[in-house]
Amino acid sequence: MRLRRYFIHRLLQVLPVALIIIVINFLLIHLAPGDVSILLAGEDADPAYMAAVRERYGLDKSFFDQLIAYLGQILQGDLGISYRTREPVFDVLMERVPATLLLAGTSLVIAAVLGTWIGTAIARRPGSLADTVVATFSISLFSIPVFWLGLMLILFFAVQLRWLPSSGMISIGGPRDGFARIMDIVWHMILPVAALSTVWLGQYIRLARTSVAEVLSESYVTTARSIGFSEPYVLFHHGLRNALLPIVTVLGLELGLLLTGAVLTETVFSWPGLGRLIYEAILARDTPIIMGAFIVMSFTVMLASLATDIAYAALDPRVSL
Amino acid sequence: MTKPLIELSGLRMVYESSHSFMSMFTGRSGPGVTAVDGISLTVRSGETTAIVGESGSGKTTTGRIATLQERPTAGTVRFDGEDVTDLSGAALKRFRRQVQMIFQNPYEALDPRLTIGQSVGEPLRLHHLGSPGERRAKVLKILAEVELRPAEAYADRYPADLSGGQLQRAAIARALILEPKAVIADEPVSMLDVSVRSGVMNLMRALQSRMGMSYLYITHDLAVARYMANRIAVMYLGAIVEEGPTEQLIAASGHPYTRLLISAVPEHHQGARRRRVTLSGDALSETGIPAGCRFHTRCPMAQPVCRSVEPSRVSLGAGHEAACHFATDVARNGLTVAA
Amino acid sequence: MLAPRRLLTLLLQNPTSAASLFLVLFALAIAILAPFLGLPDPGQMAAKPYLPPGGEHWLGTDNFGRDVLSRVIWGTRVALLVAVGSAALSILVGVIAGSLAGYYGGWLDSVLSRTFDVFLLIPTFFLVLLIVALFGSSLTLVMIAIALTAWPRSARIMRSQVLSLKSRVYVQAALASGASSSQTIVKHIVPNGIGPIITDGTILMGLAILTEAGLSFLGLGDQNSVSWGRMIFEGQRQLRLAPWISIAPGVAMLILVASLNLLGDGINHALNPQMRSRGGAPRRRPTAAPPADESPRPVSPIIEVDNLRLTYSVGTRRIHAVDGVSFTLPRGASLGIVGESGCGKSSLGSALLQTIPNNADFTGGTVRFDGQSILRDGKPVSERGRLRIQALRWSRISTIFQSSMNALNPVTTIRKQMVAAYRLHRPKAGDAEATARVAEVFDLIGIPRHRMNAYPHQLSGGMRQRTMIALSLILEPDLVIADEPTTALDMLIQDQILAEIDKLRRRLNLTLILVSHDMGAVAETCEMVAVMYAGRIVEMAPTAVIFGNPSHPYTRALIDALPSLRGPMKTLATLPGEAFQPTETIVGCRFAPRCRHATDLCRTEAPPSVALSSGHTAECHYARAFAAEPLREHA
Repeated sequence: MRLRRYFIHRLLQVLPVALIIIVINFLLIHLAPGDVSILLAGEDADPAYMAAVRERYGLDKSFFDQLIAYLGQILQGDLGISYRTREPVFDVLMERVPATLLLAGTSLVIAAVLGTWIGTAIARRPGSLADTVVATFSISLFSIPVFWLGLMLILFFAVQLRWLPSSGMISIGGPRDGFARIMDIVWHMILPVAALSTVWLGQYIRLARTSVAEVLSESYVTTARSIGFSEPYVLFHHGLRNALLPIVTVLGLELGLLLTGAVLTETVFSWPGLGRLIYEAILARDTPIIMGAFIVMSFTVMLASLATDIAYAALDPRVSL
Repeated sequence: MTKPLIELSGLRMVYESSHSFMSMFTGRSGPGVTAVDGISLTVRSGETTAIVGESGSGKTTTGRIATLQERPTAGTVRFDGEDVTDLSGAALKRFRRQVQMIFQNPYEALDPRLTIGQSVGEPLRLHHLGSPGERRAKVLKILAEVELRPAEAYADRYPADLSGGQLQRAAIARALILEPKAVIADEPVSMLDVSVRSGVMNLMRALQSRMGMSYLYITHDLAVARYMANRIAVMYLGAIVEEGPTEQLIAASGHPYTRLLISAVPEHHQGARRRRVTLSGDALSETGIPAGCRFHTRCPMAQPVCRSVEPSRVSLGAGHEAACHFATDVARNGLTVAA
Repeated sequence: MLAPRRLLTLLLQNPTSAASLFLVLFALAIAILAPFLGLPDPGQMAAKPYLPPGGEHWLGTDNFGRDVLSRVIWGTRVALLVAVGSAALSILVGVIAGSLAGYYGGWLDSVLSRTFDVFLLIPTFFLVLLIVALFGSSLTLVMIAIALTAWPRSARIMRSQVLSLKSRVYVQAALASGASSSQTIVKHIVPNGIGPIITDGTILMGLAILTEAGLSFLGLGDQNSVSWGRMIFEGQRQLRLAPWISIAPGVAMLILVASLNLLGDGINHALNPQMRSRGGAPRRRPTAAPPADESPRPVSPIIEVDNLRLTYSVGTRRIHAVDGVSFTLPRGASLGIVGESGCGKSSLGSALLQTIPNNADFTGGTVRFDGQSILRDGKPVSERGRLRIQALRWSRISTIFQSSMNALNPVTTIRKQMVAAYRLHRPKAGDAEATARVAEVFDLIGIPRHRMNAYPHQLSGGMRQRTMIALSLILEPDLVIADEPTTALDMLIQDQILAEIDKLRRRLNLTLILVSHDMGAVAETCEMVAVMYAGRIVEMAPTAVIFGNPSHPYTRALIDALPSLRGPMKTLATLPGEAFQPTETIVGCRFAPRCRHATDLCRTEAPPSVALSSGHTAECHYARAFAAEPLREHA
């Protein structure tokens, strides 16, 4: 009950943000050079379609009316029509979501689990040589441009060694169903997941190391040690348990950054997700898709942050629901 | 008796609960926190008045209102006979020359990037007093006054080079360089070590007898208040529960809370074991001020009347007052736990 | 905030920071000097295409026959331009917005903070992408777009800096002495608060470079400039044929971004040196075997401390926090250890339990608990691979910590923590038995039983402190070390807690060591008092003697400096100078520099421990003379 009220409360806080995102989008379209109707309909649209778009967005009405019309459209899930394929943007985007989720989700889990584990282990010896080396290493990891790392992996594993496929999600003419198909997808995932999780790994090592080290200097850790608890018990029962709070928070906050990496990685590996779609849209100057993608990405991040908040509240009794 | 310098009357300070995001849309905000709940207090010229209270009693807020760092929700502040509650602009700046402040934490008292001399001289610069040369001379003189000698050497050092006691002396110098009529000191020695503390207190007393300003001395420590002040006001949950001349207030307190505070001060003289009074209830209420007498939830001698009727101030003679239904009784017989 | 020169020195001391600083400066130099390096024109398609690295073209040529090295170097120019431009812009906007929000608070803060939050929730890269896609992709626009999405980052940092600086005393003092808000912001707040933002600026620069490269890689970069991202974008199509075209700019970008991030990290560490070494697990220390001749004596003192020494290493300094402390306590006794901050009293407490920080070392001394050595010549005694102290912790020696908010784990209930402690030492006990024991100690200390299911933050300060006492008693220890158990509490609660500790000690026949800065607290709770000064016990005596006939000038000064509520008013005595930390070898008496009675003897020769009466010793050359001369207040 408490949790539900908290959820509704937080949802109400997030709604204005959603509104602001849509308004930003709207303002950008109107501030951009060129005719709005061309931006929305495409440069080579036929006059009838152009007129339909003008009607739909109320482009001949006042600025404010246009905003209301635009909001109305978006709240109905109508993000416009892609002028490359003439399909509704929303459908086009949704079709691509599963692939992105698969890629980003897998990489995120690998990076978060591995990073937290390494970070926790290294937090036991702050200032040691191993700590310094790992710290430098993790900073270097998130300084790698992910698309370049992807290219290098392709160059080495796909071009030179010919071990792994360089692009796509499934082999052309490969198995269509069953376990063999799953294995085919896993096979294709290895390189893009490696690229993405490598770059994210650095963040989590660093975060876990700082958070756990911070917790280990708290006085309840001193209490636990004085009571005689063993070091592993202190590290996991007190250290990691309490350090999870900041880790979860950052996990939520940095999702936008993570999606960026996913988009760039998808482009390199021709992974049929949102990122690849955005790339194609840019090449084709398909503005409705780009705007739609921005809105969908923003909403995803927002919902993720909401989920993080709730996870946080569940983890920390001090947060009053 | 000398003339009143600072007169606080009917002060109330209610803090709105923090601006939440929702309140931007709903226009609602939660109930406020009452930090100061109807305080009247007079600081006389050339005298020291102490406010004694636990943390959360509102003593610091009272001090901040007296210096107009915060404006009260209700009530007035008079300085030298003039209502200054709503001063602003140039008049406020003139007021600030007259009333200065000494704070608790000496380690944050001075801007770490400025030399001691620059910090101490800052008020002069702000009020455009004197040429740079005259200011420097004044800074050196006041540094010598607070016993930071040789003043030339101290003036050119940075706060990081000074110890806590020395920093607090420098902070006192900065407060006194404008020769104010009143100084509000908020726990100026509580963060200092015992061996340094007495030096700062003695310095403050010596400077007062030399320069003649008034102090409003805010502290949680009754013994310190006794050492420093002519008059003491005891605060509890935002209100003054007892006020009077120092020795009388300590010797014949009329409020059970004052009695408890006195009995809680450990005695460090040989063999003197005092009788401890057990106190009912827990720490200060964080949610609100109880109805009736604000102390009844913890008072060992609370009666039914205390739960419903807020006591008014009872005069115990010679400017000594206590806000307790049984003040005369308490003043005469001490704490008697009712059967 | 450190002076720039000092910061530079610190940075150069750390090899990683020094290397990254060098690399950033190097990149800056070649970016500035690019036109004067005699490189081939980066846009000129003069050479043969697809030349591999070597010969005339060190990094080869691309598909149009342009020199890759030249393009990488010109790319540095673009990368740094974007980095510096967008970082500077976002810092400028961020500092202004953050200062206003933090300083003025109220609705302005609400609006600005919410704006920062909105930006946190927006995936900024896509916003930049959208802006560039809609408005065109000139370098200036890219910079503005990046700054537009990055400024809330600087603003948030600035806001929290301002919030903490605003309550600083020097800011309050400036305002109280008549400074206007704008004067205060410009003079005190911005200069003191800008450090972390500049540090973060290096990270912002790295982010900007990666963002620009990402845009270029998606084909949205400035068509007219040579950017690394664009080179990789163009090179990926030739990956099989000429991989060097994309390898070189990627490596350059990795080096520059990593250097910027490492530099930021290095500055951060230099500004907050404690960050690097915080936390961590206790270090393994060399141990000693139990002495061969150790035989249990029928009646041994509960604790014997002989010449205990503990040294902290802070940077290159060595601080002898405990510098030769000896005392013996019989079972059931209560000893108060008093002294000013930095005198070593708390270090002594943790040294007895051997829970000392990693930067501390035992440098000598022997500690025996109930006749058994637990520390021998500065080494913890270990038996069959297990430290002896481990068997004693909590079951025989426990501590009461100062009840700061976090003395108990904030995310678990009190019952769970106490049960875990009980079962750790009584492995056979079940959950029910342990809970029953928790209820017992709660009764003992007067906390309602149902409070055991609370989380620590749900209790008031006084309750939390009582809980700490209950926790310390759960295994019926022989010795309890209480370290400033009432310091954070209000006067009335302080007094009550002390009374309870005193009552329990008598009732359970505990031995108590009470570490406190408060002479009064110790006077009423302890039978014996030890006064510490600069790492040594300078005087120790029964409580009545310490306060009635103190024989060390330091003890006398401390007592004479305390204001009193009772008795006639007298002027408080003052001590010249400040307490010092014993960092080097001390010649003569350590109190001599502040002692009004110091003679040449005191300044040259360390005083012996003078035994005065039963249980009364003082480390002063003139102890006997002082002992004969009563305190002036009793004269």
